[in-house]
Amino acid sequence: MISVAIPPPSSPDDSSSPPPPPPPSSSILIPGLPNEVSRTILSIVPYAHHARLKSTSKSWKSALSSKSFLNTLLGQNRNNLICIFPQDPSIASPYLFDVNAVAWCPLPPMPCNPHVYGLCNFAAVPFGPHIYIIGGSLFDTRSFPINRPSSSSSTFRFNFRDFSWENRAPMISPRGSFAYAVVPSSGNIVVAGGGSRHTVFAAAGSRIRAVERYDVVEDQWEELDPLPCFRAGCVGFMEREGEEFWVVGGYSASRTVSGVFPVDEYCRDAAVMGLEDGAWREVGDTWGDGENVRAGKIVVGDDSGSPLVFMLDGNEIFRYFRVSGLAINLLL
Amino acid sequence: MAEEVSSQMNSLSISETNPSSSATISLVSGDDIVFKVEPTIAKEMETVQSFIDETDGKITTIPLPNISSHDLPYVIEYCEKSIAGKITKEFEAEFVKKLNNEEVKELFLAANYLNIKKLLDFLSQVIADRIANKSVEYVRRYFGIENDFTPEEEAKLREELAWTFTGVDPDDEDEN
Repeated sequence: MISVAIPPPSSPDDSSSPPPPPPPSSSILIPGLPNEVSRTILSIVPYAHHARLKSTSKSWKSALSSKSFLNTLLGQNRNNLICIFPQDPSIASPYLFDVNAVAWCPLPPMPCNPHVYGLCNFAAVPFGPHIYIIGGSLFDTRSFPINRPSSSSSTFRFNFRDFSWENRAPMISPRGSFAYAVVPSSGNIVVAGGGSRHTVFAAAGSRIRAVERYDVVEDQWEELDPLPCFRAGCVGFMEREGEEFWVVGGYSASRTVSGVFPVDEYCRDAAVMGLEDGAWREVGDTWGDGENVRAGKIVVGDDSGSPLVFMLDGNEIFRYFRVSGLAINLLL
Repeated sequence: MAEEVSSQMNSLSISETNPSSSATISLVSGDDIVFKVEPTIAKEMETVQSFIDETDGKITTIPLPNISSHDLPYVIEYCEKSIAGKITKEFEAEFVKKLNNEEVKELFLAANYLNIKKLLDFLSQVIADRIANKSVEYVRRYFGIENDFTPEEEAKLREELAWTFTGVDPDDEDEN
């Protein structure tokens, strides 16, 4: 299950919205109140109620569906939604959850390709009034052997204005389980590493080094300098006010135990790209000494713009502090 | 808390058209009741303050034809609390408890007319909370909005809504 919180991005939508035109006299929202004030009230109402309130009157419908209004919502940090992908989104509906209203809404399934199934390990990236679904691992009925997962390069986006899916330009290198982050200042999404894995024979999966940048407005992928080493299953985030793209965790090479069982070689370091020069540097052991600390699931939270990086390892939780370069064990 | 509030209400001097003293500002409500307030309170009301500034402070009696003597004390109370820095969650909860829907709407209009940012923000939230869980009919009635959809259009729109709520408020008590 993949879930993604849809935060208010700090930048405007891809096609920066022009100021709303003055309303014609027939489109008064609330009699006796300036429309600007009425819109403010509506923007405070939890998002889940908007669908119903649209049937109040024509002016409410157009106000609640307008692009500028959606952008106001995104900028407010009040109407946060969570989008949950319980399964392959081209087969099972993703769900939206409105935290403020405690309400659920199924989304239409993603457009599907009849030859592929079981899409997972994709990236769900919220950006403006859209969610981008990028890459992933899937099974292709045309490939051999049939039960070997392959990577996908396709990109879809979900549009909150009309609740529809659109095809976008595919990545140059197909991948799943990769690191990604939004670069708000330039309207880009960067992706790094990744590969495809089998749910049972995970360590036998593929890994790549390729790094790409997606221009949301132009709908174009561009190749950047590759990662210092092969890496999949990694997590990405922005640091130093969006100047650095960090890739942590994941696994690089695989080795075999007794020459038979493939096992992962976990990455304990971080790879950092300066977005200005595009050069990668490596930051040593992110999770401290402790030989037996095997990098587990890494989760990146957001603390008003700066990332909170946690690693879950069995019963322990570590938090990484960039400034000191140290990981601190939070719970035992 | 409630006692404190009511004692503050009493301390407001309400008098029938008195000659204005230089230290205070007189606000005249739509129904000709004069409310004397400290100049600091007038500062909270941007509309009033700009009126005073335009006349270089010579005029201290300000007619507010759009605001009734019923609403003005609430506005003044909120401004006083705001100046004293005593706007707390408890105060706001207590404040809003006293108001029915009609009064909230009137106060909102008053705050909008007087241009009191904090009160406007607060009342926006109150109104949003009050309409959030309600039916469309209730919202129309509440704001006096005319339904300009044809029945077919409306039925189609309603079909589209697919949100499942864990609890929906029944339409309200204090509204006819």
